[in-house]
Amino acid sequence: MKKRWLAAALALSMVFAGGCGSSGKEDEGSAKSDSGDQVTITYMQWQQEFSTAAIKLADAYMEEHPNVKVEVITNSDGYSENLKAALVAGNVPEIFVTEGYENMKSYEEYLTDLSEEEWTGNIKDAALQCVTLDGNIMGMPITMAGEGIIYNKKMFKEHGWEVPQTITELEELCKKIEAEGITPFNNQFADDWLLGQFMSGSGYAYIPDNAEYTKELYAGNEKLSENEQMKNSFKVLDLMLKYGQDDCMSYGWNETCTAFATGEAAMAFEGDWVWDTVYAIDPEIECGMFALPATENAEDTKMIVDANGCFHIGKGSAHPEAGLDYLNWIATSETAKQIMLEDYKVIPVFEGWEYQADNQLAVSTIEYLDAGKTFMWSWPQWPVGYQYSAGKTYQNYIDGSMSSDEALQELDDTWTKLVNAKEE
Amino acid sequence: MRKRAKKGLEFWMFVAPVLIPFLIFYFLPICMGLYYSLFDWNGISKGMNFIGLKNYIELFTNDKNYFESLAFTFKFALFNVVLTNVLAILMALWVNGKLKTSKFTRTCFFMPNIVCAIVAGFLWRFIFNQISDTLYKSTGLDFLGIKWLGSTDTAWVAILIVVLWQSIGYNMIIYLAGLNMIDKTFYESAAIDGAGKITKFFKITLPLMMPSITICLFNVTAQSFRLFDVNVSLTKGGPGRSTMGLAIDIYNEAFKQNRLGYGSAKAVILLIIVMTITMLQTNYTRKREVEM
Repeated sequence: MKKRWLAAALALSMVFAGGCGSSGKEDEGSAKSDSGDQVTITYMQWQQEFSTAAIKLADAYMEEHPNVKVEVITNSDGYSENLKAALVAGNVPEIFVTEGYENMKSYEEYLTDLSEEEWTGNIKDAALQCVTLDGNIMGMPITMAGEGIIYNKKMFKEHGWEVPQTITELEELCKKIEAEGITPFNNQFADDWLLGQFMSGSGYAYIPDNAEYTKELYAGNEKLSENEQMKNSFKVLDLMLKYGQDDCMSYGWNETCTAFATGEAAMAFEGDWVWDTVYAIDPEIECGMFALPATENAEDTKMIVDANGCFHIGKGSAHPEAGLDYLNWIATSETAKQIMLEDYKVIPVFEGWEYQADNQLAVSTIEYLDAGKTFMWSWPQWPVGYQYSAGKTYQNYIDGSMSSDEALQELDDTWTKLVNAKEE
Repeated sequence: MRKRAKKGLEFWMFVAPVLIPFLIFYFLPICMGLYYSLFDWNGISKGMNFIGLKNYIELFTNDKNYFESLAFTFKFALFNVVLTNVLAILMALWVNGKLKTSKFTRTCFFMPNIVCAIVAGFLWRFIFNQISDTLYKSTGLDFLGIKWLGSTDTAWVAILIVVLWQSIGYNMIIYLAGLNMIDKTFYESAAIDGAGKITKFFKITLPLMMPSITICLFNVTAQSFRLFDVNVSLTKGGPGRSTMGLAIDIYNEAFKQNRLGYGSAKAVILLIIVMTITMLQTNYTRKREVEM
């Protein structure tokens, strides 16, 4: 009799043991503050690179505001799934991060209108479009970021190579690099998201009257397969494949950063965000970034730069006014400014802030920003998920299973499908 | 009367701890998935539009990628089921011997199963990309020079390799148990009748192992259609769409493209496919189980 009860109890305990499990990678950082009118606000973000900086920022805020506790949650894997689950369950975080544009738009019902805040007037124009929805400002951009061809400055100096301004100059440069026995490009084409960005940087971004074109594309009045610049992007891709390493589709972020940092390749198509990875491999590296030229005209060549991530105040959260206070503090306080510049290493979105960190690639981005030679990223304005599908189409082209015409046709088909789905 | 009530209580005491989680974590989500598939919901907004069977209609008429995923998953399932079971039976026979190394090899073959599938995927990604490359540069063996993950022709083979590596051990253990249950007297009488090793295997071993074969075939078939962890960590469906299994396609559709309703419809279809195939297969092998 006793044995039966023991067996039953063991069976029950299996249920509880099975139910306990940890989910995903979560970093929770918070400091306890004095008791009093305690208000806890939740701050959710995905950027792993900002996790320590975010905790530092939260701690600084909590020092000045002892009755507020800020809980920082960083989910680098599955951030959007966790955020959606929290929102749908009713646990709206006070502060959360999105990529802006279309990505932000899908969270429309949970965003707070911030147009009345003072700091909105202080944001650089280039960064404002990312957070604007129907004329209202729905978030605060965090940093600017640029993407183009990262190149090994030391190598270039040694061999007397110059930064190319046109596609012909780029090809000439590749021939010279190859003659020295170095691989000109290391192509990170295992990553479909990178190819989606490449679609923009080599083609889409170059389309004149870009905003108008995007509108027409959404309305169904334009087709990517009929567009000059889009057809040209495949020619640029051909150039990179010709002078790139073999089997480029087995190279992802880590593999490409390693090949670039160790000097195996002279250049790669990536953004200034790879700095921390590259620097960790070779702290002595000297590198820069130039805009990917796609035409014969040096005047056309511009770098794709846009706001990378933005803060939003969750509508329907427990303490939105505390979250708002936090954002206002970031925009106005000296302490916050220092942390944003030194720890977040932002390329400033506010007028009057000067870049302070050590990212050599970001320095190049700022050069292009200051010279006014930039395009918008474009891909955040495409339907949600389009960037990845487009990347996969490019991978099919690279593999040889599609011609450029078929690829362009597929790009159109995917676009139509996603736009129609949105309108249902 | 009281005895029956007591028996009833004991029955539920043992069955409930398993039945209740099953209902909550398996049955309920399936019902919810069915419900969501009738709506057009992006997974975030507070409102959903009822669109009836439109998701299913779109699936069958307008989604070329889905059928490519279906074809890939079927192809993968076929190879996985055949190879896993054949290799697992062979390994069980090997390990069942009286050799001194048997116990050691048994442990070795089972160890990969302990590794979590996602970890296995990342591990093999490193092996395929970096280790194999370095070994190729130092030895020059053609076999090591193949870039498994870099081409649409070979990426699916890479997934097959990792899944086989992981699951053969588990199925081997089941076959081992089945082998050990066979009465030795059958072999003796067969030997007296003059049967050789091969005849013994096909006429005695295989038929008596049918229960184990039923279990393993069912297991591996269901597992092949549910392929997700290794797929995500090894190839993410790439290069292109060459290794886009059904499960990862559903995940991308529902969560990356913010189409939870449409993704749920795909999931319901996957459920129907897996249930049909496994029921057919179980029926067939059940009939061929021999009891002596």
